[in-house]
Amino acid sequence: MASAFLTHRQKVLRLYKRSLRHVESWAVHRDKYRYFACMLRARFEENKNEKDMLKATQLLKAGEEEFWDKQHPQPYIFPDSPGGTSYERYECYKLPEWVLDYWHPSEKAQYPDYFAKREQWKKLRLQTWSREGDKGEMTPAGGPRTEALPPARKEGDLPPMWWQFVTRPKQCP
Amino acid sequence: MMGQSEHIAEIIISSLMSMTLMLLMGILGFPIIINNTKYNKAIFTMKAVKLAFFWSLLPAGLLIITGTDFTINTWEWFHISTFTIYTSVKIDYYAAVFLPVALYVTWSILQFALWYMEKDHNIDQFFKYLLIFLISMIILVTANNLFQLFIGWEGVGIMSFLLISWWFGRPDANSAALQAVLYNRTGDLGLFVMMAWTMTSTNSWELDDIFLHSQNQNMTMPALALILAAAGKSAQFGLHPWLPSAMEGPTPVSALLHSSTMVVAGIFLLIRFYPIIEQSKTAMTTCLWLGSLTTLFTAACALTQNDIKKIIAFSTSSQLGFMMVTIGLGQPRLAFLHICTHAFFKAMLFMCSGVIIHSLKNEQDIRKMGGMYFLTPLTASCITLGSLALTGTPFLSGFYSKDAIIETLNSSHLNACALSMTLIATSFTAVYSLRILYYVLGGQPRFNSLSPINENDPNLNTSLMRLAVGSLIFGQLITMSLPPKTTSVLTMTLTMKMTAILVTLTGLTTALLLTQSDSLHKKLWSHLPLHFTTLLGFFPLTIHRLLPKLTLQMGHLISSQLIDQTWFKLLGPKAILKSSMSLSKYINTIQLGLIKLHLMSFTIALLTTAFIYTIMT
Amino acid sequence: MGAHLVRRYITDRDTEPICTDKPSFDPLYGFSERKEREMVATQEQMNMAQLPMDLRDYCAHYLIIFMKCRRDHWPNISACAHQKHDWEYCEHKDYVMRMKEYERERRLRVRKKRIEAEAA
Repeated sequence: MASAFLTHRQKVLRLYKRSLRHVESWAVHRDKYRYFACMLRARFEENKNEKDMLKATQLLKAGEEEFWDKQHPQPYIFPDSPGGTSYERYECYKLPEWVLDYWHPSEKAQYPDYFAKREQWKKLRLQTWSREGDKGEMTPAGGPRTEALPPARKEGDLPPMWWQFVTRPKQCP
Repeated sequence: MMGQSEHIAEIIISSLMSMTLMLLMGILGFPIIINNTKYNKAIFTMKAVKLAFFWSLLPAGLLIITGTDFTINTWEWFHISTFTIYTSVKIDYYAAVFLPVALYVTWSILQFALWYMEKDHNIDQFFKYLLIFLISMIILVTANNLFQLFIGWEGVGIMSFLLISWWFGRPDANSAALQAVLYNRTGDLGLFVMMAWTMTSTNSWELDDIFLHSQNQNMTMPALALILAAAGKSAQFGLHPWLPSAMEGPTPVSALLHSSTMVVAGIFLLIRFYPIIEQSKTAMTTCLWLGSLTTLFTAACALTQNDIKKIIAFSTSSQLGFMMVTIGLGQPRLAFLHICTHAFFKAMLFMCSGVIIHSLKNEQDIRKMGGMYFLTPLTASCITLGSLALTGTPFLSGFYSKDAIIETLNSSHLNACALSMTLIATSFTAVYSLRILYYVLGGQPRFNSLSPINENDPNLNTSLMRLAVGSLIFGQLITMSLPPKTTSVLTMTLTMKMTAILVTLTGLTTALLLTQSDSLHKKLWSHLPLHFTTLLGFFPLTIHRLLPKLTLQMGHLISSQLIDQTWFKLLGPKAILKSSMSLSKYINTIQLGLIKLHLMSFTIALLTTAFIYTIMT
Repeated sequence: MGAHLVRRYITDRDTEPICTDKPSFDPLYGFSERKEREMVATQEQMNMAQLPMDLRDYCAHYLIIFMKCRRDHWPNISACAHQKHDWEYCEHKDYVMRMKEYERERRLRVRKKRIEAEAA
């Protein structure tokens, strides 16, 4: 974990969330899970107002160690999350959208509306292309300070890498 | 002496057999060859398999009436000096019974896949893959010749690879497919050894010749090679990790290849070559131990898995171990019976899990299921029926094979340790089956409330019900209709007779009691045993990491130390550097510009010239 | 299973016979009136009925009747229950007989050992 970049608060919150997920993996039924989740919450709440950073860090370390000791060997992973059972499953059906450019004109003529729009998108993309990689606009000097996504460029402007949302590749529904 | 009329009848029947087989192949080959866009190829394939199933009843019926085996030697394929390879087909008891079973199961699974793979863009290709697999399986089963058997063997192997990596955009699926191929190839080494051995010692690859010539030879080596081959294909202990990984493939693939047909090919090989295995005590003991180890270990792994498909995969592995034990007991017919009955209910269990997974939007974790009993009643009934058949509930199909095996096991004089391991694994069967039912069907739903639960598709309903009928009556049907070939164990005390059921019930009760005690809010975390079984006994971790790590270290050592440091550095530039350094140092002293040195070199040159001159004259 | 294993490996390792061994005592010892068992089905009958080699035992004549009945009543698979029972009952009696022989062998061995111990 990129612990150097995280604040103490973020670390504690992440530990809490991970612990909750692992408790969920251990305690299958919801009633049991609620009980243990409340217990966990109470343990975190107990030291909520700890002002002494040294002690807080020690508590956090103890918490991390306990988590490591009690983690589930096979934690629940959402099917679409990395490591899940259907993560990237439908990648093989995805065709890159540029394949459409190589369609035969007769094939393109079957979808006149889409290809008319597509030509406009391509033009717009050419215009915004130069700005997409503009780091100065997206990140402050000296590198990113938080893990949050870069802020929107301007009010009413197109979001960065917008064409990925417009021309979505072919995939399994 | 055989009468003229009987002789003619034999000829008619055997030509009927070969015709049947050719027709079967024609029916099944047709959908692969045609390229007509007018038909829906997937449905067409399904119907071809259905037709082939009804055709395959003919050889099975003939076998039941006549009770004799048929071998059809068609033609000499090719010669290698004195070695001839024929194409010969054997429709004996095993092939004639297995063909309809495999076709029936495949028919149902293809129909199920029509529903399951409905949204897939390449559904036609998927069906063709399954069909090619089926054809390879038929070649394997009907082969009377090591060469044909090898073709079928490798055919199912390669189709397994292609179908596991069906979703090839997924790295896990690709690595699982590679795992399957590598483990299977390890097993194939055994088949190669066997082929080489028969080629040199019996000069024939025909099964009958091999059995005839192997009477007075030490068969331990080829028998062990066969067991290695079977262990690779049937995921026996040591070569087992590929089977649970293979669950990366779509559910119809798991149902067809990794439960009912392909994985039993290894056991089938041992059944076919039983006359060879039988001759070696070592091989029989190996079978017994390997099988009992597999069945216990994988059953223990199945206890703690959370992925529904993995649980069923481990249960398959456990049943394969059980079949291996049966071979070790010297009962190939019972092992074969278990293959057939197992095909029905295991395919059905996989299909049920597929329905549930599909209904819950690809959710495979049983911790996030629950309450499916009310939401998918048909699937719930089928999964319960399949689990009951798997645990050997009396008069379902699993009972007829499993109970007979356990009775034979109890009354045998073989290694008691291996046998009791098998019994423990049998009790585990009940536990993991119950666990699936408990988590999936019972309790409160723990999944997203917006799940598209629907089991109203006729393709799904009919295919599930067809297999349910198979799981209900097949065992009864087959035990009643087939002619006896060996004496079964009939005499035993009541306790022994009831062992199978007692052991299962013990497992069931213990599991229920433990669940009851666990449902109190006591302790949440448990340690080593659970970690051990959840992480598959650390087996894949150790084996899959140790070997690459050692190779990597070795390669690193060779490339950095030997090649880079030694050859490319020490002997290459460094050596040149060293020699030229000393040379240049020497030359350096000459080039210092001192008048003394110039004079001395001048003098030496003069003296040399004078010396040469004096010699010359 | 249990009693045999305990005797075989723990308590009576020297007297417990191995079940694959042949009997070592005279079959007529203590049974002077005992006759050799007769095979009812002849070789020719078994050949004609195409019985598998494993099943050509002392119950083969019942099996021949059963197989014939099966063939006559096909496809009614439940027609020959009586014939099948006759065959299986014969096999059962055969099994019991073999078990008795085994027990005789074991007791004779124990007896022999006891007599030898007394003599010594």
